[in-house]
This record gives sequence, structure tokens and C-alpha cells, in this order.
Amino acid sequence: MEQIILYLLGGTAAASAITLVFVRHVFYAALALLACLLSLAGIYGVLQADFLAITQILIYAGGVLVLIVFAMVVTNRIQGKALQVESHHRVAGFILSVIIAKILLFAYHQTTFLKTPATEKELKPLGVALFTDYAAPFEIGGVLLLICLIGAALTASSFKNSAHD
Amino acid sequence: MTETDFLFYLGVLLFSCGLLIVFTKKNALLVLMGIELMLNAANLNLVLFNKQQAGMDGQLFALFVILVAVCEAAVGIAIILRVYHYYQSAVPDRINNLKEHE
Repeated sequence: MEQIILYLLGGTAAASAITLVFVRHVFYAALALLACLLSLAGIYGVLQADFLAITQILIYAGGVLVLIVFAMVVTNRIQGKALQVESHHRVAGFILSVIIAKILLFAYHQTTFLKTPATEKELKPLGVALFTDYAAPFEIGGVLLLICLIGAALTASSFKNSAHD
Repeated sequence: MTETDFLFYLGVLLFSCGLLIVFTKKNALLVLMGIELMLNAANLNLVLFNKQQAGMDGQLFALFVILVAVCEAAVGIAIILRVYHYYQSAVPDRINNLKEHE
């Protein structure tokens, strides 16, 4: 049962990623990305990463996607062909991504993975680790979020008081 | 094909699709989406290989990757908005003021 769900979610993620490559309408691209992110959240749930699954839904599907759709509405206002997107360097890009995929697969098949006994993943050790072993990165992450919030707000505001336009 | 193989191949597919989007699309927002896709592929691998190990290091690392990805998306979209206001275009190729014009 778990395996069937895993393959279904994986298939959805793969299909929406491929859709994202070929889609010509920016809003449909955002919807395809949403489907991909949600099915990845489901995969995290199957892989015993509950907290990551919830984070994925809250932050990616709830935050980043809304931000992207909002930016899409603002940036496509004046262009004549609304919301259409074109692509270029198609052959070169395809060759590049196939090469990268080959390198990744080669590395995967060459590697012998370290076998340590797998443990059941629970929520509590994650929270404990976040506030003990990983306290410094956690705090730095908080500061980074604050800085980028202020920076994004400043960058996006219209600088009416500054000297240049 | 085992579960691990399947999920690794899914990660590879997501990463190559993201790279292809970043490389080919003529819209800054879609380029941003491609970057998000690549970061998600990396996250999938972290979670996948963490499941076979003791400890939670992979999941925590994936959490920090999400954190940085959110910062990157927020700042990136702010920059796209500014660039759009200045150039009236969201096409990265048209932003070439630093390029030498003969």
C-alpha cells in the first residue's frame, strides 16, 4: 500500500516537472510547480519526514508559490502577449541536462553507501536536535530570514525619497 | 527497481528538468521556478538517504535548504519586480546594459 502511494506520488511529481518544461503559459507553470511540490510533500510523509512534509506544504505551497503568482500578476501587466513564455537554446539546454543526469546516475551507481542501522524517524528527536546540536544554524537562519525580509521589502519598494528617480 | 532507485531517479529527473528550465526559459519567474525545482530535487535526496541511516541529520539539512530557498525566492522576486519596473520586461536576455555595444 505504502509503495503504491509512493509510486503514484513520484509519478505525479515527474509528470508535473516535465509539464513545467513544456508549458507555455506562466500561470499553468505555477500550477504544475504546485502539483510537483505537493506530491514531494507526500513523498516526504511516506519517507517518515513528517515535519518536512508539513514545512513543504506551508512554506513552498503556501508561501513561495503565492509570492511567485503575485509577482506574475505584477510583471505581466504591460506586455502585449500576456503571460506567454518563450524558450531559447533548446537543444543546448537539453544536451546539458542530459549530461548532468548521466553524471548523477553514474555517481549513484558507482557509490557504495555506508550501511548503518536505520532508525525510526520521529518528530521529537528532530525538535531536540534543532535546539541542541543545530542551535547555531537555527539562530543564524532566523537572522538570515530577518535580513532577507527587510532586504526584499526595501528592494521592492519604490524609493520615492531617494535621489535617482 | 527498488524504492530507493525510483526516488533517486525522480530526484535526477527533477534536477535535470530544473536545469533545463533555467537554461531555456525566457522569463525570470520561470527561471526562479527552475531553481526551486533543483533545490527540491536536492531535498528529496537528503530525505531519501537519511531514511536509511541513523539520526536526523539529512532532514535537518533539508530544513535549512528550505529556509535558504525561501530567502532566495523572496529576494529574487523583489529584484525581478525592480528590474521589471526599470526595463519594462521580465526577459533576462534584455537586461544587457553592462554589455559592450559596438
